[in-house]
Amino acid sequence: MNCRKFERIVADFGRPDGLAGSRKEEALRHAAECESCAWLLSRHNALSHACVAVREAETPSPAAMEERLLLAFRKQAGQRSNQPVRRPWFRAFWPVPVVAASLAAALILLYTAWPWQSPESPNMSPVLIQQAETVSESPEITASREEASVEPELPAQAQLEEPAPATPPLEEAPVAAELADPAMDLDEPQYLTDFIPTMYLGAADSAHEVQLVQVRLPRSSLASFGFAVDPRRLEEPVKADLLVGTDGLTRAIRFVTDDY
Amino acid sequence: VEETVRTDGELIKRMQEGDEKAFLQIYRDHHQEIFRFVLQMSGSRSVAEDVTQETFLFLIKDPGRFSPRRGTLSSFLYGVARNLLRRRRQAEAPFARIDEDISEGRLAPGDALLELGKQEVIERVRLAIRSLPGHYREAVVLCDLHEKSYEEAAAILRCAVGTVRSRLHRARALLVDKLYPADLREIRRVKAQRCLT
Repeated sequence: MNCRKFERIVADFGRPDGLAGSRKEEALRHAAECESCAWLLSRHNALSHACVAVREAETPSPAAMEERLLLAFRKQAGQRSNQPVRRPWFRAFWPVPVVAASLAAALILLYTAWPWQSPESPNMSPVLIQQAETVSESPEITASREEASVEPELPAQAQLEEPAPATPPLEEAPVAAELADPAMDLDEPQYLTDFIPTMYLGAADSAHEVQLVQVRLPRSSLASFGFAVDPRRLEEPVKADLLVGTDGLTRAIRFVTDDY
Repeated sequence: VEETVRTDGELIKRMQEGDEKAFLQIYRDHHQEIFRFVLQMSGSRSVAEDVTQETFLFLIKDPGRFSPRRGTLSSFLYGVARNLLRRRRQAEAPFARIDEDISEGRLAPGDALLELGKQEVIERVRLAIRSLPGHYREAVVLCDLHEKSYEEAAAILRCAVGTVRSRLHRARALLVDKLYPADLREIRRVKAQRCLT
């Protein structure tokens, strides 16, 4: 230990949480050998003794203070017992935000779970329109979903009578080639899509017989197959052809426009 | 310390319920140390009385401000008294006496502390402590006069233990310089012999 280190710890001498053990012994050894540090230690010891003298000589606080404070305490305790328990305003009204949040959550749940139907809108659940004759396996069934081409759902009359709007919705955007096709038979139903398989069709499955069933579906079912839907027409149904197997499972679906 | 904190919490709870005995116990346990702390910090008995009274009035009016989780009731009361004293000093700063600044507590040459009578020593030490800058004075008063540990002092002063320790070392060095002015020549001679390696 050198003098600089000793000076750093000299104030810790005599403190219960200060120097202890080997460190204290080392410091004392250094003080015994170093005149400068011995002098410093003696002064600090003298200061500590002087502090003890100051500590012992302190005058007590006046006794009258206890009486005054006791009176103040009684007064305060009396006021406290007479007054209702005061709580911060936000504690008093804590149920309000909780109830409001619960109501909001319940409304959101109700809104999302409610089967929305306007009185004018048709039943949005699939409606059987016509059960067609049993047909053999259609080659269209094998068309994959990726290969299914989406034809625009546009009223044929409108296509002919009115020019297409400048920025038509995606669903209603006409395909130029189709509009230009003079051979397009307007009396024939306009298919929005080819048959889209709805389940895996193995080689064995292709031999099964299927039935063509015409149904009405909610237009939102178009979206479930990845097609754009005009949000303004969400409540309108869309016709679809289902290929249903003998086991009752739908093999494929084809959306048919109902605007003709 | 945990036992003390638990007891403090129970006493405060009883006090909040209007238990007079609980308040008296708190007052009798702590009023002397608070009074002495303010007296040693301010050097004025009237200030010490006022601040001590205000400290306990604060506790009476709002005992809920004390939280056993933050420390002992003693530390809390020291902290309240310290803040009240600082506010009072700030309010009175424009009217501070000039001679208090001039004296600085330095003793006249030839007054060797060890040769003085006990009462005179006490007065000299008090004067020297009062002349210290506030943050050094707090460290000396709490650690040397009130025998608080470094941790307790740190809790009262709301600073790190190392800060308290360094402040105390510096304060004691200043006190030694103030209380032994006759030895300045000797200090210089002795310091020249220091080994720094």
